Amino acid sequence: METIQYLVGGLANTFTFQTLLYLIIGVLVGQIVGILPGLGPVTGLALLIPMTFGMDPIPALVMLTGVYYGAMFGGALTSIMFNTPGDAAAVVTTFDGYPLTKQGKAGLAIGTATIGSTLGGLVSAVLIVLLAPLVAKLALAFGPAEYTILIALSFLLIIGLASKSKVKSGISALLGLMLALIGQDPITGTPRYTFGHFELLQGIDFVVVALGLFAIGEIISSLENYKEMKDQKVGKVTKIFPNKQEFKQILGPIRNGTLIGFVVGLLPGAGATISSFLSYSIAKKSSKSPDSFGKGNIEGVAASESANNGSVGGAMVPMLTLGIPGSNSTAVLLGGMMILGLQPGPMFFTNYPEIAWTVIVSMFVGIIILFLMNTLLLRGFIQILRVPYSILAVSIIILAFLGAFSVNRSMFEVFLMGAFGCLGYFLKKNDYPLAPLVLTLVLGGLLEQNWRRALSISDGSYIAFFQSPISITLLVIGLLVIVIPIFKKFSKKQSGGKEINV
Amino acid sequence: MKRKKRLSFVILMVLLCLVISGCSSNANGESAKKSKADFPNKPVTIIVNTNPGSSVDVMARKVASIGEKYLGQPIVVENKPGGDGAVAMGYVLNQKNDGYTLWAGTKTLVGALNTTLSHYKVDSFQPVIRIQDDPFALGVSKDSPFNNLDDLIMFAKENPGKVKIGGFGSTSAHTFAAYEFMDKASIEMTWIPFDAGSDGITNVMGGHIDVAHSNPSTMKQFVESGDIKILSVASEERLTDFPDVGTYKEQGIDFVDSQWRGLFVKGGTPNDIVNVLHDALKKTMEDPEFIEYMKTSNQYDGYMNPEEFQNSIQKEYEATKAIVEKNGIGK
Repeated sequence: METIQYLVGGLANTFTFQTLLYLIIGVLVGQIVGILPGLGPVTGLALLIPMTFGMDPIPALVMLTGVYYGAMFGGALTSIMFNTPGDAAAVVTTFDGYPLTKQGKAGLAIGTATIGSTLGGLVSAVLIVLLAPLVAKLALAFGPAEYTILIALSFLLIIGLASKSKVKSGISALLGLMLALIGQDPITGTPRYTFGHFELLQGIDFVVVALGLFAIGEIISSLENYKEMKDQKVGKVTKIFPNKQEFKQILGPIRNGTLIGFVVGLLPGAGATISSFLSYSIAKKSSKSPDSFGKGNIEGVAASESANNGSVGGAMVPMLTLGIPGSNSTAVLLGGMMILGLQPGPMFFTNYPEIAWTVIVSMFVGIIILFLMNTLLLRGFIQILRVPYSILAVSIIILAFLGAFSVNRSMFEVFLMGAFGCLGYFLKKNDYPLAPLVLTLVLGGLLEQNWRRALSISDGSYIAFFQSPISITLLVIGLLVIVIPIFKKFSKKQSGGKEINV
Repeated sequence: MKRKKRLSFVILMVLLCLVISGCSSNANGESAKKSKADFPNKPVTIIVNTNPGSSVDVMARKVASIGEKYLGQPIVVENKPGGDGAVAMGYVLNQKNDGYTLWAGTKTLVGALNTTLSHYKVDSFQPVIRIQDDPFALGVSKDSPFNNLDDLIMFAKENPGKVKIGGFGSTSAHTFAAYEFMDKASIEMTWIPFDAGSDGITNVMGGHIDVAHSNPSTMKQFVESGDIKILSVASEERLTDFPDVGTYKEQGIDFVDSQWRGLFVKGGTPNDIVNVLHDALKKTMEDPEFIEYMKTSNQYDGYMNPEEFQNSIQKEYEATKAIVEKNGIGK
């Protein structure tokens, strides 16, 4: 009963003129930074936090939260249209989104992404209301050992995703791990592979690598077939929303994606990224046409977008109930709350029920606003694709430069991005998948830290990884992922005598 | 031909402008030295080496909004994150030493001077005022067998390296403080570094490590909710918020250390400019609005004037240096 009372109160608070206005500003800014390559929710929050200074806590917090999920929403657009993911979570959306654009189905891809994002966001907001107190403790159960296994599992899945060559995707993954090593050793603080450059001490920022590999790499390789690009027609955007049959097709991936997003989002760390990769690989495995993944399957877009938006709700739970930020974005959001004089933590719901519930209710309203905004503006967005590629490419390069520069406000990152652009072109040309590189770069540092933390906690004993039910469950899943395909191949050989490539 | 002539004229003028402006910046530098009396006559900038929202950023923004009326000029806060503060520090040191660019620094500076930023010296920065003092504290889970510092030290003495103590960073002020404590108590524990101080607390609550090295301000809520017990605080006297928690000193370990936050200018800034800034900022600290902020954010008054501040940094620098060399951190 009390919850309903708070929800109604929250609704009333959200629909005051001031709060609604700031909510719209928040989601709009979020959407825009999400669309701009290289700028993610962190940038958007950093931009707006100084503005909240001296504001009422409710509209301020509603606005800041809006930036966070707005950016997740917007991230899909550039991934789909230009193969340029704005942040790590949107990388997976490029896998099928960009091929769809190439086939002239950008509208359908964005429509699917919008539906996936909306459902993912709404359902995870419902889950906060229902489960927040129960699942908050789950975040505590994840210690270094459990993290190590979870991250290793996601590496396994992403390498397993490769349909062409597992060796090539393994090479790509190792390349990412190697890049993740650059910087200060996370445990002892010793500089590694920095060659005395203090720019490298912090490691290589993911944004720089992603912009280089995807955006710049794509533009370089498009120069090869410039003539084709020139003649390519966008095609009439007649279709935005999937039809009944397609809708049925994406419903499963969305349901799974949202749940995966919410649960993985709960865990402090790279929740949105891991969840979108996990959701994608599960969607591929359970799909009726797994071979069309990576070539433009709307299920892939739906799986990725529902997971990264679902993770927003998940990440809000430990932040609000324990004061633990689950991602970079929630860490900045947490800081924003402290500026407002609020201390999120175990006493937050007790001390400020009105603020806490208004923020949750505003998420529903904000997501619906985003949905309407996206459907209304979608046709406009797609017109961008009609701009001649020569102009479009240059604009993307300029935006990518801005994005790389904004990481540390230095030219070093811009040059680095150029280098990664060349690497991206080379990898693409030789059929190396880029996704494993990106995932291992983002999570490699976390894997190493947690691995070493777990071992120093257990005094070097590997038993650490087999001690909790969570670790064992995850290990069993990992084992199944390895064993089942082998078993399948084996049984195929028995029955049909099909050739096996090792 | 005419066009070419015109072009070379334009180039000539551009070069001339460059030369003149090059000279003028020199002249400015000199005039700044001469006209200390009317400092400040333009807005002052505070550089923060984190993203907006960190404790030090919140402090800088409060100082900026309240301090304007005492300084008589607008104060702007600019965030320059990156390189463990190296980006911001490098930026401040590249400005003129005219007092218009301040840096909001924390005790992290002392560690950085000993490790990642060893090419800077203690006097690269001139302290202006120390504002906050956030003493270090040890926290354990509510189910922990340790109830005070003695329990912990006794256990650690019998089981060297068995106790896992975790907190922020591998070369942070927390790391050095933990090693200093171990040194003074002659015990051995295993340091588990985390990306954020709050991760140490969650890992204690989840039963993954034994002790969290944190600050009372960070642990306050968890103490109120009954999840965390604080064993000791590294302040001179007991804190008013935690009257039941003993200091290290009264529990037999001569250890006082804190994560302070203060403001600096570039080294070599003239004394009267530093004094103008200090006086205005001291009045800011005494403003009721600022006192209220300190209270709501669970921060403690850590006021020191430039001289005291300089001396205490020098002392901490030497203490940290000894620890870094002894334990080989960051090498």
